[in-house]
Amino acid sequence: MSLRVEGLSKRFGAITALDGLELEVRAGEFLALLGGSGSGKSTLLRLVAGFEAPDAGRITIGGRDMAGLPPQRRPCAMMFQSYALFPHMSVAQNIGYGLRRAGMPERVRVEELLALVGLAGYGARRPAQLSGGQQQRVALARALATRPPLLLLDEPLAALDAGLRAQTGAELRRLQRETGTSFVMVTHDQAEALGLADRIALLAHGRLEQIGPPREVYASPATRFVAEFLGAANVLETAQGVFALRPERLRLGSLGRLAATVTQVAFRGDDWSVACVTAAGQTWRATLPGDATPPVPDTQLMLDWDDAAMVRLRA
Amino acid sequence: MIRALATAWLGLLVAVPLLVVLAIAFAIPDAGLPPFRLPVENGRWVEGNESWTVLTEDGFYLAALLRSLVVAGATAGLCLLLSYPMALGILRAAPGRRVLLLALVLLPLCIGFVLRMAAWVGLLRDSGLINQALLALGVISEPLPMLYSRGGLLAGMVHSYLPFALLPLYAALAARDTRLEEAAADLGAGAFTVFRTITLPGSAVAGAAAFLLVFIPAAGEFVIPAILGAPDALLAGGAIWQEFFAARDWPLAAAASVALLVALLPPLLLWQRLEQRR
Amino acid sequence: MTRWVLGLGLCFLWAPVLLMAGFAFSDARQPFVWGGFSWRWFVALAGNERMLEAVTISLLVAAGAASLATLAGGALGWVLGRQGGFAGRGLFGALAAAPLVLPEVVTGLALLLLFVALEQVTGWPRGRGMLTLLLAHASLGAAYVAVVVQARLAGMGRQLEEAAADLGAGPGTVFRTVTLPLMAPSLAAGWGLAFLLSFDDVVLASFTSGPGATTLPLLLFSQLRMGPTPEAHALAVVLLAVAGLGVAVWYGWRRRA
Repeated sequence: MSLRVEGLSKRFGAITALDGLELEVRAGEFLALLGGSGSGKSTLLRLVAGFEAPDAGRITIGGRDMAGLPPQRRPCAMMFQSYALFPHMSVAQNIGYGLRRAGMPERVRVEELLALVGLAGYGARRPAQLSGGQQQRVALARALATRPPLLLLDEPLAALDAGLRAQTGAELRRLQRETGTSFVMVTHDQAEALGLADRIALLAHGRLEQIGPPREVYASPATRFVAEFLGAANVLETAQGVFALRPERLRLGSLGRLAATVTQVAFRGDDWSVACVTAAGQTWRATLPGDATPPVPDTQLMLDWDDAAMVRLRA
Repeated sequence: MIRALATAWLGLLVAVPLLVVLAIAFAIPDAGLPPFRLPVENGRWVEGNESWTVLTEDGFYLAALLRSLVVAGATAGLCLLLSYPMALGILRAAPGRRVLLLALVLLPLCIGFVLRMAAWVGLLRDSGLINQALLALGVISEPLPMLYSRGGLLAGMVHSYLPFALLPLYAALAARDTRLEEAAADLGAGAFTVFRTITLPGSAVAGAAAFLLVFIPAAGEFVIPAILGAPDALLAGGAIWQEFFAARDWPLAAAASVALLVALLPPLLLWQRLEQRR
Repeated sequence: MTRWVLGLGLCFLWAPVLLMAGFAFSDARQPFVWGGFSWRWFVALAGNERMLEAVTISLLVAAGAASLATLAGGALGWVLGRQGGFAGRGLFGALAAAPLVLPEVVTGLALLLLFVALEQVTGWPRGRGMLTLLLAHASLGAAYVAVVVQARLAGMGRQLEEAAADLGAGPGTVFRTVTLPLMAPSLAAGWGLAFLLSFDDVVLASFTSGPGATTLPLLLFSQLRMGPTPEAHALAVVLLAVAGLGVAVWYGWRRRA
């Protein structure tokens, strides 16, 4: 089911969380909401779910206006960052909670879901007896139980350690494809967003900066914010306009367009990250392949790039 | 709906009684049952209420009130002085033992308030245990008059109110961030300095709230002074009790209650402000 | 250093109690005088009908007051902990906390005057007795229960209730299936606290009780002024033993779980 948000605004005291946000999520797609803290992405989720009411604007799910509808009557389900599993109920009772409320048959569906998330046989346990990763899967199963057409996920992978994150992310993707549910996932991790989503929406200061498929947003950032947030691009200001340059498109050598002094060299396993400072005091970052020989700090060199690597920014 | 019921409860059992006290404070003492008359006849105000003039002009009641505030202050101060190290001591123990120590603090409460005071009487009186022991040891030749003294009264008050200061203070100290104290120690502060500069300021709000939680009720205490205190040094609670039960002057007792509440209004407001801060 | 003070403090709390308990086994009539080991005061206690009746009344009133206090205090704590700003919230909170902080002389006097005024206006309650005492104790207990419940709700956070609503539960169902079960331990603790407060109370009982409803503390208080009552000391031992047993059982059960 599709989700449409028009002119959405929300203020908390003196802080503006959302500022006239316009966004559309297509039916059956996996959308990642990406942004720093204070960008408004969690607020957006809470407004869609119905836990807060917007100050202005409209939320439509599947064509229906959600104004005035309490959370229990909305066709979306939420997976909380803290999982919010009911500690006084078993895993099976947790998963079946939504089914009981809807008067739908419980037992078979709960077994089905336990198998779907790889927790078959865990039904009788209590949430406190499970690991973080297992709790997360129960929370997911609980949210999916009544087959909601729209699933809201609030930083679902944030509490997991790095190794588990990748694996669980892939499972989320698989589930989304299999069930055909629209997923809206909030995250601050760009690798996650790039890897899992059909489209990425970047939020800053309560507004939408850019929305599009991962490759498009990465290769052609529209604004300075997107360029710097996604892939930490360098920003070049010339008389002709403002351009973004990705670190991996820079070449270091004795000939080039921009003089700089190396300040820091860091090995990251896959590659080298080289930070340098230009005469104007700007910090530029370049990425070299892992098998290259990096320069030494305090070396003076020239940065060079192809014209094709320059991406014009809008603002 | 629940809020409406809750409001009705509070209205009937808390708000209205206090208003009634205020009203009776303006009534006229009478000989019948109940021993007062409302100061309204045929829709006109009737003279005859002397409660307020007696309160303000007779130094007796003012002295009783002041004495109560002093005793309450001393009690609260001593309770706080004991509670801080005791609470910290319990928290230093292993987690499993903490519950046991708390139970040890609370168990004496279960034999009942009156019996605990009776125990103090037995200890403090001229023929009581303490004097018996001291005489037997030859430390003194005559019994020390401890009962009906300020010291004896304070001992009973502190014994009674200590858990009321200890438990909220314990709860607040248990929730504090001990890493701040570790940081201070790491920077070279000794144990007492850590307490003085980190623990104490950090728990100041809870400490003040615990002080007030003892001070305000203790100011109106009358059972303990009746059993352990000097009969001539009457406290506010005792004055109210006397006027009500012995002299059957309900309006005066009500007026004295209002005076006590007015005197306690600043600490009460302070306590509310502190509670909101937490 | 704190260990020393803790030890001293515990001694201060226990010394009078233990001494009284010890001398309850003394044969002498005067308190705190040793006259040889004897069970006689325990026997006398068992035959002391007035005292046993007072104990029964105290237990009944305490149980009734605690139950009423838990209902009322639970509601108060829920309103304060879960309902956002509403008109008069400050006053509501102040009145809810009032019985906690006000001197009992004042609340006792106020409640008695309330009952007298009610009787004058409506004819109920007729005189003072167990019912008025129960109401007075419930009023005090409710304030304590409210504090405990409010603290629990504040510590719990709203996420679980939001999750339940998100899964399709209406407000009543959220309360029944999530809020109430999670509140249950604090309600139980509140009940226990209100029970102890009622069982031990002297002041409120002096004002609001009546003939035929003499609680144990009232009886002891009046007897104390008249002279020594060794049966009372034996009673202290019994109460201590019962409470100590209760704590031991609860502690062992907790360790098991």
